Amino acid sequence: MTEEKISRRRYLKYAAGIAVTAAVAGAAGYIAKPAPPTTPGPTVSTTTPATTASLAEKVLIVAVETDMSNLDPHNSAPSRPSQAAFAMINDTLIEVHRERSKENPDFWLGHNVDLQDPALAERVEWAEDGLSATYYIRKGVKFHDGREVTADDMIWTYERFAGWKAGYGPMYTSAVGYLGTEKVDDYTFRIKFKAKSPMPRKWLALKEFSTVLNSRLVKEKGVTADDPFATTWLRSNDAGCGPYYIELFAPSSEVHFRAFKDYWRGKPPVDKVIFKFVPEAADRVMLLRAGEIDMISPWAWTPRDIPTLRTDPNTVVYETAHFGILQFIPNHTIEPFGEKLVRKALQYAIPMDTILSNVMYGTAVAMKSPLPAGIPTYTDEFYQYKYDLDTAKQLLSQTKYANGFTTDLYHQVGQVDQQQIAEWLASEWGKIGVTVNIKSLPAAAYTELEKSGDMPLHYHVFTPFIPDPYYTFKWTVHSPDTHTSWPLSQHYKNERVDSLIDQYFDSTDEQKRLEASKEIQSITVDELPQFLLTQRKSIVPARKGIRNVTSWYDQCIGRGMNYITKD
Amino acid sequence: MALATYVAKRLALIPLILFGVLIIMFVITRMLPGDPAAVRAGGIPDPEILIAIRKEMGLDQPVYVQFVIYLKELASGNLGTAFMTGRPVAEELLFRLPATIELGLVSEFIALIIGFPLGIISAIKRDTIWDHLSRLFGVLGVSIPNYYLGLLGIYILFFQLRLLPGPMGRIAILIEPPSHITGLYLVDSVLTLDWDALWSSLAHIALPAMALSFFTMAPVIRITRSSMLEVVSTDYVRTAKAAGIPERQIIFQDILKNAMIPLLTVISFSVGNLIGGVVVIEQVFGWPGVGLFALSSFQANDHNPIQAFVLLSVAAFLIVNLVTDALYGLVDPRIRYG
Repeated sequence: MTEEKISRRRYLKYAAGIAVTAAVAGAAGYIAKPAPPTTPGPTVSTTTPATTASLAEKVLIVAVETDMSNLDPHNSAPSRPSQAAFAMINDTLIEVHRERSKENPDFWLGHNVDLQDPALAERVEWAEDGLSATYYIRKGVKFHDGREVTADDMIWTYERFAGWKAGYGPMYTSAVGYLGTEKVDDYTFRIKFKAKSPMPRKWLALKEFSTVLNSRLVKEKGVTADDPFATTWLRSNDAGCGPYYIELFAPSSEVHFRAFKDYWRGKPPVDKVIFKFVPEAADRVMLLRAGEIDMISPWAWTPRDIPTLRTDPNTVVYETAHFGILQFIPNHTIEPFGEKLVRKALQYAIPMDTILSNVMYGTAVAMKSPLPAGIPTYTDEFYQYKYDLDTAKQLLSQTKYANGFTTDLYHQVGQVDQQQIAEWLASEWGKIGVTVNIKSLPAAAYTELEKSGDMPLHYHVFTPFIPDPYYTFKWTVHSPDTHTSWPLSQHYKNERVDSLIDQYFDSTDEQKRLEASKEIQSITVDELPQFLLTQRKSIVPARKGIRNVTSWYDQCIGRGMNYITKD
Repeated sequence: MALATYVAKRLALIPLILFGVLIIMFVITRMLPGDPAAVRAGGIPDPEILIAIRKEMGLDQPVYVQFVIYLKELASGNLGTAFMTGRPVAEELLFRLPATIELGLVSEFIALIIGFPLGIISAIKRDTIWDHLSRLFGVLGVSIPNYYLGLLGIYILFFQLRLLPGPMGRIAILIEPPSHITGLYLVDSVLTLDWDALWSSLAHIALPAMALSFFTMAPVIRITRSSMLEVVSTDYVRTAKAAGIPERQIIFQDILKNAMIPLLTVISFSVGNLIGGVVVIEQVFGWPGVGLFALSSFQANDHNPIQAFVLLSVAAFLIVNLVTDALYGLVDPRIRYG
């Protein structure tokens, strides 16, 4: 009996002692340890041998908002961090020209796809008839496995791009009238197009359209009879020649990139970059402010966090105007959104200033045209709206909905700013008799419903990757066709608008394009195929001492990582 | 022998139960709104591309054909492919499972190591300040949402006080994980004598495990307290006290033993709570486990991971219940099987 008593007591004591010791040791170990050094310890890789690290290494840690599960540059719908990851390891034929921001010398802007600098291609020659472009590939550029980049790699890459039906390629190649490629010599190849148009040159600035894959490596490791395009292998393997190669690929958690010492521009200043998946927005902000990470990805911040980061002495917010918009789409086939006066009345009842300050916290500006500001030919001269409930009521009284109506507004779960805007709209529109039922759906259900075109009112975040007015009009105000979706869901049709877009989409006459664009904006600002809501800024929160950050036309954080420096 | 037969019978039932769950989940995932092919197609609405993606994903087949294909693959251990990542679901789960198991075990350990003594104190010091505090602690644990508790813990213990590391996963980002043996970083660190990895792993798991443990701690405190109080009022305990047997001996030898049965029940139910809680906590702490994977799969209506996650959860729950039922007989010799 006594022995049992002792052993039980002893058992409890030991158990408690171990638990307390472990907890204290953990906390003490954490407190006592110096802050994580900029010199990394040895790393473990699932794909490459572990490397040793020197004491002087610079490491940059970027928090991203979703996992990076797919490195394939031709994948149809990669997450933004996946896009950033493949931009890190791949290089492109040309690069969009960067220029230093006037407001901040550490910040660069690469928004204009019409201004292009040589990259893998040291020069490009466009045929007079616009039906082909000849690329002269820089000699001596190495893939990460040491092989040299050749025309054969480019040609195979384009064959894959156009041929993989479930990837991005078919849409892109169809849109630009791509006909195919031909080899001129080992370092020269040509791309052919159906018709002369300003579009191909713009499209070829996109990283998806001009990246190169190591065709020999992919064929050795990834191509099979069932998978001729190595779609499985390229999801998680590196076949690039970019400024960084993958050192550790743990897509559910982080991806480690190591600077490629044989990169043709020279080894990047930052020796190692880590993309760390941090799902919660609040966590990302705390980690940045505490110095545990160096940057937050441009898509991974929420508006309410930015004011705090602007005033924190240890952080810097790189920000500039950009052309990403929050489309607010009414379905013109669902009553009463087919009526112009109703749409105008509702536009007058949008409390824009309140939304910009209380929801967007200065991270967006008001849209004054379906064409975002910053895109060539944009004008706000036709914008007539302001927050005015009396005008809203007066317009509504001229319709059969003078007593109001009820409608449903859909947004995606997790999009806090969209939800808050919806709440403001419900409140303000309620004052003119319009009852708004706010409905939130998870991503899959939202996407499906959006494609079905059955939502009366919903949002869509849209960034015109090609900042061209007619490309943008095609996606925002053109009547539905097989290559666009959001006009599908709004069911707007104006024959004059369609005709102008179709006529000048491929035109090289800049003056006529300008005039037609103004006419389109004049019509659509009046008719409001979509409500004019907010245009988001390009914002990159970072620690002080992180310099030479670039805002790109697609806000891809992985592109241009080779320019970033860390004090 | 009776116990062995009992366990064998229960084990034999598990595949049948899982098959039933599988049928239900298969149908439900295909009825839910949200086409995973459309999510994978993203901004590309071209119908031809959507058809190509659906074909690649096997979604162009009738549902019963998809089910038969799935069963055939399941028989060979293939849980299908996660559409969003393109990798086999089995591979994804195996990769992530150790993180979740480790988090669950540590949090359960914390819940018991704190909840148990608090329940005992609460019972022994009934209606004193210690009793009230213990019960308040338990109520708070079950009332405050895991999500909020996790964020609050990060804000206070990491951001303000710097007592614990931030939500950066299982180990400091610049420290190499221990060599893989079990996949549980704490265990592998000890086995490989990797003290850097051990301290870092302990520090990183402390906060998420504590946040997760609060929800299961509350019923442990309550049930320990009420079970003990029930036994305290029995004649034999009063007799033991009257006979002068030391209180500590009465508590640990007589009272606790008899209070174990309901406590075991609570522990087995807490596993169910853990499975639900782990999804939220992994999201808050960026913990690379099965829960986080399941959450993103649910949002994308990615059928195969959803099915696999539910099967895994049900299997875990069934096994824990079986173990609990088997332990009843060990704890209480009056219980007989067969």
